[in-house]
Order: sequence, then structure tokens, then C-alpha cells
Amino acid sequence: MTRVSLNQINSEIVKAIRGINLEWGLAYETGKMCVFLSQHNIKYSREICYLLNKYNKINYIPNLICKEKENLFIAPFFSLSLIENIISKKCQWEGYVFAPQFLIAAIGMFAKEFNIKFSIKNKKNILIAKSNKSKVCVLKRNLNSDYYFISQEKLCIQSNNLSLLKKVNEYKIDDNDWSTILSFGKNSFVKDSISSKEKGAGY
Amino acid sequence: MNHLISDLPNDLMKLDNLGSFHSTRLSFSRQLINEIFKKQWVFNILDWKINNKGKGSSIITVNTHENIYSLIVFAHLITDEDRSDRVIADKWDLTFTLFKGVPSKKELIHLKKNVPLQEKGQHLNKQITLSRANKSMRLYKHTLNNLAKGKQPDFNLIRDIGYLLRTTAVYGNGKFGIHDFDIKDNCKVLRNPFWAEMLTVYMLKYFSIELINFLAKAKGGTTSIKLDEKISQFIGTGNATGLGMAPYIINHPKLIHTWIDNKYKLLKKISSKKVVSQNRIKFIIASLKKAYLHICQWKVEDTVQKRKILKSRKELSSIINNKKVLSLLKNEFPLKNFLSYIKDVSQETKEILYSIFIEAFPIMSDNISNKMSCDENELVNFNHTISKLKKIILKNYLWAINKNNKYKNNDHYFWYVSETKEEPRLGVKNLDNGYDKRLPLDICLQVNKLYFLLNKYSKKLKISDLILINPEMKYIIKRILINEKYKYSEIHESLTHKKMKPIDILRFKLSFFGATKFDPKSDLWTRITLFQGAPLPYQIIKKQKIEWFFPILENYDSSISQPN
Repeated sequence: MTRVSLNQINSEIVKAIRGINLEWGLAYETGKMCVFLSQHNIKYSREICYLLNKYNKINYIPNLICKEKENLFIAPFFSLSLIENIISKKCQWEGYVFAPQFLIAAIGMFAKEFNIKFSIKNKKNILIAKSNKSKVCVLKRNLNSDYYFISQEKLCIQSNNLSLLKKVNEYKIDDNDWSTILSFGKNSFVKDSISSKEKGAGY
Repeated sequence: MNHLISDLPNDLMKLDNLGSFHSTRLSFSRQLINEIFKKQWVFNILDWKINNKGKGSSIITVNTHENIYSLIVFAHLITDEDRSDRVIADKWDLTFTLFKGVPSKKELIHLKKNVPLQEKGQHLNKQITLSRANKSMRLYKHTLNNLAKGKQPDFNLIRDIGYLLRTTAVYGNGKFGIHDFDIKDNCKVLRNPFWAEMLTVYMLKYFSIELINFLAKAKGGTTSIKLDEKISQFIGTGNATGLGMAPYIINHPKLIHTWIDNKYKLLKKISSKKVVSQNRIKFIIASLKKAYLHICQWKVEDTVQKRKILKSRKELSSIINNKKVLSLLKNEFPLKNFLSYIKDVSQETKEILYSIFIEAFPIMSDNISNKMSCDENELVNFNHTISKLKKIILKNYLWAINKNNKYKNNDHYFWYVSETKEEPRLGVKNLDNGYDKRLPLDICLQVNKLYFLLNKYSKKLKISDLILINPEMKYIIKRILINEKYKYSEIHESLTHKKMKPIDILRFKLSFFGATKFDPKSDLWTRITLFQGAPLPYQIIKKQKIEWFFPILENYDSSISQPN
């Protein structure tokens, strides 16, 4: 495992996402969600690397209609946008989700900022995560890609089965995943040339 | 309200204006020294393993009475050819790190191996900053030789250069795996913006004096002398700064707003005072003279900056010698009337006057100094329609959607990051490679594009739906919505315009660090000095109150040899 700082997680994830030409706005949001997950010791790097490899070859097109297993909602790229949409339309959303831990990050970030309560349930209608003020409670940290329901709640949901997400002080990431992320990040840089060298400070 | 100090974003947030900023009492280096003095921090050289050639390592600690921090310095011997201020350099005279606590033996071994590697090293969470510096060869060699011979260095050289060591990067906030900045940290050094970086630079000033005295003694033996106390105090730490600061300004709009808002709110409050005590007026008049002498000692080669300095000298001289204008300071609303009388002076001079005013009211400014940081993690509520978004654009971004901005000069440059050590660079569109990998600093162009795109959709469409169709617009839409609350969050000019000078952005940020003697070397980079005139640790411990804003080197005769 490689020890990393939050700044490194944010900046290297943004660079990697930019390395596959995803839009800046989405890259920044993925970076911030990864920071949230790292702060709360929830793993995410494998899923990020999978997406980097996949969308390096094909274009990512955002989609919120994900009722088929073949048509997963890509939570690492679009969870914050989904939550914004739910708030805006005051609706519930359901569908197949890839990397659902990013939904937890998104509801956690919104809960902190706007004090909006959210719940996430699985296909058996079991509550697996909820947010209230700046607190997020989860049933378990590792969630599989599956069918989920997300809704905004007016009242605080009582549940004794969930445990509060707590922040950790040290952030570690799988060595191989980290080197994959760093290598995709390099795609966001511009190759050096003699003339480009003169375009930087020092000249 | 005092209309003489314009706080309109459209005036204030222009590059020419921002590029005239001077350091003030609110600047981070000034705040830091005030705190060091007030809390009587204790500095100590814990370890000195530097040999007579100047190679080795040293540990300097500072006890803040809440925490201990250590500056661990590694001194290297490099050739003149290897010495470069650029980010792409990989050898430096000194590499160093500010460390939380005192490093253990094991940690020290790790630091010795990794700190000299800088960006390429594996860094510890206890490292708060990571930095490197080069010698100012002209002044360094001269000072060393003179001290070794029992002579103080030449007055003109000290005055014109003003530092022995020049940092070329001071990384903080979690860069390369070091400690993350946290606004909620219990410790002031870690929660106040740029305090950790400034503490590093201040400790390097102290180190530079100790180093030159040590090497002079090693070279000259009993003939050698120490650097005079007043010269030592005057010596600052140099810094070479490049394009990396521009992305920072664009990426931290709320923080930038906080800095400017605090400065101008304070200035408005001060300048609208009906009565100002005679002591304060005397201080202001004395400071005008001090500022004049300071800029007389400010030497640059850059023709634009040289012209600005000369104009400012003339303007300050004419204010100081104008009895009528000085008499205005004795009446009611003294500062308002004073500013009204001299309203046509250059921006450079105005900013000098603003620094003096802020300095004259230390309690007011010190009350604000702990409000210079903010929580930047913001999300927005997208429950708005396109109609509302358009209104916000027309209110806050009229400067961006102005017709003139459609001309090609507005799309002349693009900002990018080079693969060599991730150095930020400025490319010319249609000439240089990398346009497709440009950084999103072209706010003006993005707002324009969005504004014209909005016309294609129904006014009632929700922004959240617009983003689903146009995810490429998310960055700029979010920025516009967040910045609605922060009127000083945007530079009101295109950062890709042909006439744009990055140097203005650099100066703006550096002024908040407390930089003096801005010395532009091109439109892309500048040298500056930090902590020039700041009291040294042994002066602080004696509780010697030292005024060091607009520092001046008092004349001395360096030709006379002195006994050790």
C-alpha cells in the first residue's frame, strides 16, 4: 500500500480523469469524492482504475436511465450530478450502479453542505446508507455494483443497523492502482519540445 | 461611504490593478512575525553538521509553546551550470523541509535520502513543507569573501540584491505526500493560509545569516567578522516565482475573494474615519517618507516596472513636500480628504498609500488578519432555471460576454502543464502543441460559450437537466453559481488574451505573502524578497519592537575593516 496525502489523491485523480479526456467539471468532482472516501477509509481505487482503462478507449456519455444491468450508472463520474438532479426535481432515483460507494460520498458531501437527508436502499429495500447533517451512516463499507434506490428524506430515518462513518488520519492506496492512476495522469500533460521549454517561467 | 477607494469588482479585479498591489500588515509574513513576537516563539539551532565548504545538514527548531517544528536543511555543492531557478531544475544549493516536531534518527535518515530529491522523493506526513533554494551567487560570494577578510559587504550590493538565498519552490498543503493543510487544525501554523510556507522562508533567512557567518569564520579564521546586525536584519529570503501561481488564483476563487474583501473593507473603514489621532497622523507622515526611501532602494531592470517606480517616487516626493496636502491630515475626515486631493496618482502609489493606512491602524488590521482563510469545499444547489443563470451572468460576467471578447486576441494563449516536472506553461493557440490539454483558466471564453449556448434552450429548463445534456459546461456553471456570493472571486479580464501579462497575477498573490522588491524578469516570472527587514530570532527574544514594513537599508561604509 502507498501512503498518500488528500491533496495527492485529489490532484492525481483529477489528472488521471483528464488523461482520458473527461470534462474538467466531472474530473474535479471525482477527485473530491475520492477524497471523501479516503477520509472515511472506503476503498475505491480498483473501480477508478477499471473506468480509466475502459473509458480510455470509448467515450463516456452521462446517463441517468439505468434500469438494465448492461447500462450501469457510473457513480464515480456522475454521482454529484445525480444528487443535484434529485434535489432539483425532488424525486427518487433507482437503477443499476457501478461503484455505489461514490453515492455514499455524494450524499455525504451534500449532507455536510446543505443539511439534506438522503437514504440509499438496495434492491431488497434494505437501508444501506443514510445522511443527516454532516453525518453519514452505512450498513457496510464495501458495496457491490447492483440495483439501488436513492431518495431525499424529510425526516431523519431511525436505524440501529447502520454505523457512523468516521474520519481516519492516514490514507493508503493499493500500489498497483496508484501507479495506474499516476500513469493515466501523465496523459494530461503536454510533451516537451525546445520551443515549449521557453514558454515557462525562467524565460 | 468613501467613494475614493473603489471596491467595485470591475475596477478592482483588473490585472493592472492587481499587479500594483503591495504587501500590507494583513500579509501572511507580517502576520506570522506578529504572532512570533507576541507569543515569543523560541528558535534554536539543534544540530549543525555543515563542513567548511558548506556541505552537510542542519536542524533549526522553533518552539511555539504549543508545538515544536524543525527546519531540516541539506546543503549541497553544485556547479554554477547546474544552478537554475526553474521548476525543471533537479539540483539546488539547498533542499529543506519544515517538520512537525523533531525528527527521530530513523526519520532523519529518510529525510536525508528523500528531501534532496524534492518532487521525486517519498515524503512523510510529518513534513509540512518541502522546499529548495539557490545562492544569490553575486551577493553570496562577495559577502563571504568580505566577512572572511574582516569587512562588511558592499552597501550597494546588499541594497540592490538584499538576500543571500533564493527559494525556487516552497511546496505545502499535501503536495507530494506531505502534510495536508487543514483549516480546522488546532495549530495556527497549520490552519492559517501560507503560514507554514512563510515560517519555512523566515527560518531560511535565519539559516542564511548563520551559514554565511559560519563559512566566513571557517575561511578567514581570526581575521573574519560577523555580518553586522543591521545588515543581517535587512537581509531577506529571495524567491523566484513563475506561472504556477496563476492556476492557484483561478482554482481558489473564494479564498481570493476573502483576501481582497478583507483588505478593501478595512481600507474603507479606515479612510472614512472622521477623527484620527495626532500620533497616527505623525506615523502616516513618517511612513510616507519611509515608503519613499524604500522605493528609492527598489532597483529593477524591467522597463515597465522601472517606469512605475520612477513615477511613484516623483508622486510620493511631491506629496511629502506639499504642505497643503499634509495639512489636510489635520482636519476632519483626514484620510478621505487626503485621498481626494491626490486621487490622480498612479495605482502603484495608491497601493503604497493603502499599505501605509492599514499599517497606521494595527488593532483594526490585526483583528481581520485571522479571517484570511475560508472553507473552500462548496457545492451548489442546481435548483435554478436557465433564466436565473443568465441573469447571474449578466450581473457578474458582463466583462466576459462583452462583444470585444469575441475577437481572436482573446483566444491567443492557452495554459497547460508540461510533462517535465509538471511545469505550468503558456502556449500560443495554433502555434504550440497541447491546446486540447489546456487548463480551464480561460474563464472568459467559457462564460461566452455558455452564454450563447443558453440561448438555444428554454428559459424554464433546470440547470441540472442542462448539465446532463452538456456535461462539459458543468465546471463553468458551478463556478458561476458559487462565485455569485463572492464578488472578488474572478479576475475581470481574459487570461488568454494576447495582452495579458501573467506577472500581474503573480504580484497580486505575492503581495499577500508580504513580498517586497518585485523584480520582473519577463512577463512570465519575477524575483521578490520576503522578510526583508524582519527581526531575527535573537532580536525577537530581546523583545525589540522593530518596524519592518517598507524596509530600508541605512547607509554604511563597508570599506572599513572591523575587529571580530
